[in-house]
Amino acid sequence: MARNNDQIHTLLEKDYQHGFVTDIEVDTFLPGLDEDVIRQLSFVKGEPEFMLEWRLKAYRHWLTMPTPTWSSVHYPPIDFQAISYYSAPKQLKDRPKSLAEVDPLLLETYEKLGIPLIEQEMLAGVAVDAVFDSVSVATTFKAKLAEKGVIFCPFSEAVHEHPDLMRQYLGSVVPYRDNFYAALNSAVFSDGSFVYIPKGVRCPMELSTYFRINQAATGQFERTLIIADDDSYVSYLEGCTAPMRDENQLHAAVVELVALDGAQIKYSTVQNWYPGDKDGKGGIYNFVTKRGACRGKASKISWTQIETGSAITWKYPSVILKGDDSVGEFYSVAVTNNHQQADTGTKMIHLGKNTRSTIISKGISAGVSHNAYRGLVNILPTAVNARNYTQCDSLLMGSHCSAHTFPYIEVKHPSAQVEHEASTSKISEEQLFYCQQRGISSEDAVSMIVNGFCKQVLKELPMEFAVEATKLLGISLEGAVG
Amino acid sequence: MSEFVAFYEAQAKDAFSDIPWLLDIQQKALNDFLRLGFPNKHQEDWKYTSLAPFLKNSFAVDKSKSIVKERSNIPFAAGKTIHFCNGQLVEETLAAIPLPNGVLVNSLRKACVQHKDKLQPFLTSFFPARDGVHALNTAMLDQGLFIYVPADVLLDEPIVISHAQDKSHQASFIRHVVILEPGSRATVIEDYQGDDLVEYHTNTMTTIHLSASSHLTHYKIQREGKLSHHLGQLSAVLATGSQLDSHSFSIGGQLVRSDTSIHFQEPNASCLMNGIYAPTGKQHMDHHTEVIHNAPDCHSEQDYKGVLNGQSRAVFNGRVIVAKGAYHTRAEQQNKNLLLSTGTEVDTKPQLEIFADDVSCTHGATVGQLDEEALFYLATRGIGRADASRYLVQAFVGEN
Amino acid sequence: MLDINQLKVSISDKSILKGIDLKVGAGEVHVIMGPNGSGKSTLSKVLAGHPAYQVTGGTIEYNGCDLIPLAPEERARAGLFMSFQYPVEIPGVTNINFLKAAVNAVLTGQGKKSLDAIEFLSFIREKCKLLDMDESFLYRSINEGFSGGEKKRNEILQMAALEPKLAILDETDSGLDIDALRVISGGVNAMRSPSRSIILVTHYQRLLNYIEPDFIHVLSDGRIIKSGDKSLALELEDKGYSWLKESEEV
Repeated sequence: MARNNDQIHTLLEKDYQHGFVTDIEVDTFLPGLDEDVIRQLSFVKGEPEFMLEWRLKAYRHWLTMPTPTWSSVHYPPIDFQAISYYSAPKQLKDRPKSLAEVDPLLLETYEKLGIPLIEQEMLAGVAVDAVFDSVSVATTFKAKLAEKGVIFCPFSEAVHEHPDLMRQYLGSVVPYRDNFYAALNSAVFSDGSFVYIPKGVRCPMELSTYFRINQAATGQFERTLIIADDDSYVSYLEGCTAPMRDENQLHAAVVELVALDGAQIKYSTVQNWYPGDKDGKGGIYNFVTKRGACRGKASKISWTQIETGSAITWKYPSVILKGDDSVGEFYSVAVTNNHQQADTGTKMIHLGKNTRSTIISKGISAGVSHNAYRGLVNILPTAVNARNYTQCDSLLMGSHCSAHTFPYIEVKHPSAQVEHEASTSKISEEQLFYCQQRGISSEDAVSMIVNGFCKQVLKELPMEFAVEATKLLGISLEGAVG
Repeated sequence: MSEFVAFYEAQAKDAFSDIPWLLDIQQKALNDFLRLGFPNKHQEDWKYTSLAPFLKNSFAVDKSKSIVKERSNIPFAAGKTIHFCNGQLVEETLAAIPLPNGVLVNSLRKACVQHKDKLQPFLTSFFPARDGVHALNTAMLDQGLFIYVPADVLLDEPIVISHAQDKSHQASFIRHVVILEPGSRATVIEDYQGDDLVEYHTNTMTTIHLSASSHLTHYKIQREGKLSHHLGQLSAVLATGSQLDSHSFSIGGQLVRSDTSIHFQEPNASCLMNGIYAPTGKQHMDHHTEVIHNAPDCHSEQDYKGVLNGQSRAVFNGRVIVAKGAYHTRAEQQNKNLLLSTGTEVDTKPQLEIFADDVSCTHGATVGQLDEEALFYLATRGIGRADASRYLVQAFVGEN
Repeated sequence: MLDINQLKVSISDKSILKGIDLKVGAGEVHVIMGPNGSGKSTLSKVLAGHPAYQVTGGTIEYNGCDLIPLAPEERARAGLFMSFQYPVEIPGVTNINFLKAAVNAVLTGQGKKSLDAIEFLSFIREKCKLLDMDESFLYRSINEGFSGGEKKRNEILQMAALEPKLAILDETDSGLDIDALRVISGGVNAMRSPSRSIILVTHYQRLLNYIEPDFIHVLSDGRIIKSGDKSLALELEDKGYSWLKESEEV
């Protein structure tokens, strides 16, 4: 019995591979936050007046908000004055017009991360907006997308080029008043992605962004806004890696999605932030507000996430189902090990008629970690004929970790049909022995069983992302046979 | 709110016993009550239930003897039922109960004097006061029953306790203590009812202590008056090999809150919790259950069904906690709700907190409505909608 | 092939096998019979390397090497196969993926080339035909929702796919109807060869009508109390286990 447990733990103790730092010189603000820092930030980015105004409003509101304390996760208080709110590679005062103009050291960085931009040119259409610390470096494939009228550019560029869209939609899904970290993000966000898909357009390729936190004590405040106009479709991939660090690093992003009539947005995340070492030291704090608004009739927003990193994860990608016949989906695999803490889940708010939501959440906990699912399904009195199906499964590996489920189900209309199921299990000795007796090593057996456990979620990922997810979970994916 | 806290503080002091050890318990509980106050919506466990309707007026304990004229009796137990009238035990009804040797069914007051050694350990707070409601019940300890079944005694006849109230703005605080010694078996039925036109308050708590291999079947019928508030609690501690079957049926009361807390302290025990709640009109029913697996190889099963009509509201929160080391725990929980009309609301939160890995825990919750297809089918066979609905509802709760 | 000497096995400090001696030659079919609680399943599991059991004495030699220190997967790759009495379910993992992983693990363990997806598919299809199993079952999760008979057939399919040198079938016949029994026996008989040994653990004589054994051993209270050839089975059927126990006492 002891031997099998050891083998399970060995599988999970793979060293964090992406830990390294780039030596490029960076323009960095001194730590500290006040209105001047915000003005300077807005100035450095050359933002129009309305943007600065919005940041300041958010900042002033943030000052009035108390620091949140969540009962389920524990961490030392964050000193917001000790963080530097801007960091950019020096040469980006003039943006490069092609890959040839990008600092080779930077490109090398991306190669190390496994996303060689040059190779990607040959890949069947993945446009990469590579974000290096706080400023976007290169945006490829703009031309191809421009043909279709798809706008995919850094947030900072969108502020200049598309101010009308920005004014109309920014903060409309996650207003700066929403929560403490959303307010902070609204005040000091550095960059991120902006996507607009015009009416009737099916975006010809998957859009993706890579993140990286490099400089010590640099908070990462990314902001993403995706707008899918009537009858459009887009699949967006977000994958992050980060280097090893000793001090905790804060990551407080905001993602807003808007789907109009008949539009569909598929947002997939493979998150691999540094989880802290075996003793729980260091590691990223990932406090993210992600929300999608299904505003149009028959619109659809799907969130798919594989979370294996971060010291602390606090995120609830949500969907507001306002349009009649709209659909919200949430597929998640959250793995915690060692001293990690995860409190994640989703909120499905049913407002319109005939709305549907599906939640499949798989939590895997090991080590002395703590994994909690917190979900809300709220069927409001206007939501006639709403449907929800939720399945929450927890897999516990080892006897020192914990898994909790806190699903809140609030139903205010009698025509609603809500079904919630949850189960907790472990990889049993019998299952492991069965696999071993067939010649499969216990490491491979654990991989196989974990894969089977997560199958429903993994099959929702776009193909190339699924490969990275697979590496992260340490298993071989099934899709090929049959 | 604080004026009512002061009022109940005075009520509690009025109920202070002259038995020193009991007084000590009451005083400690009163301190807890003053510290905790009445629960409000900012506390997670009371998020969906407000005590505001109760805290609009004061409800005083009335120690005078009374007779509740309109009392509906449980047919098979006629003449063998213990009566509480307006919160006070009717002593004479105790005498009519046939009991085999060694079985004790005494008033709590009497037991505090005559059976201190058996009773005291179970009155001292086994668990800290969960909230102000719990603490106040302990501070007001006075009325209730002490039920004691000695080792290996198998009681076939159920012990039936009927509580009825008909006095306006009156409160009753009841505490029943049920102790089963090793290998014994018993059935206890608690029935709560009252006048539909009178606003009264019930704060009742039953604590159950099951020794090794004992078995208790417990029924609670809550059919209180339509204007009343009923705050009921059931706590049970199970020893090795013991079993508790708990059935509750809730249709009365304007504001109802039921807290059930089961503690598995030793291995190989099991418990079944069955509940049906059927609010209508503007009733509000909140059922909170908590099962704590502190020992291995225990089995808990919960099945709660709600049928909501009118503009009623129901809340269900089922918490299952499996502590580290409680391996081979099997915990199943199910909550299903039928909403029969517009304006109803249900808030359900099945909750799992697992700290051990070799366990099997499942929970499920559903909210739905009567199946139109089924209603149509029954209609084509000549069964009208109202009757058909009744059949389907019966089938729904029939499993319990 | 297999040489067991004075094997003693305990589980949680309870002694189950109290000194087993058994020799199985290549190509032979041995049957282990005995009343409930005699330790039959324990013997199978210990040979397969189940971690819950402790070997407290004796030796097990498999093809000249000491079996006891080998991990279960090492034993499997060395050609040892056990068919489980109660095959476990593994939800989410399809039969075909599992089989491919197992077959390739054993092949590479023996220094052979593993099969790619296409090769494996045709390989496994053949085996399915042999056991009269519909291909659709390959895409179901391992044993999930399988009837008792289906689970047993799945075990034999795995045996057919892994082509072991020593196959131990633990109560393969329990819970099967006549037709299922026939199909499974057909599968086992098709696997008989001079280089393969089979140990059948069973409670009933019935299976032996379909699979003719070379040797029968009766296990009782952790010891082999009688060995004989196939005629022993008929005697047992006639007189029951208690006859043997009595004669042992005498």
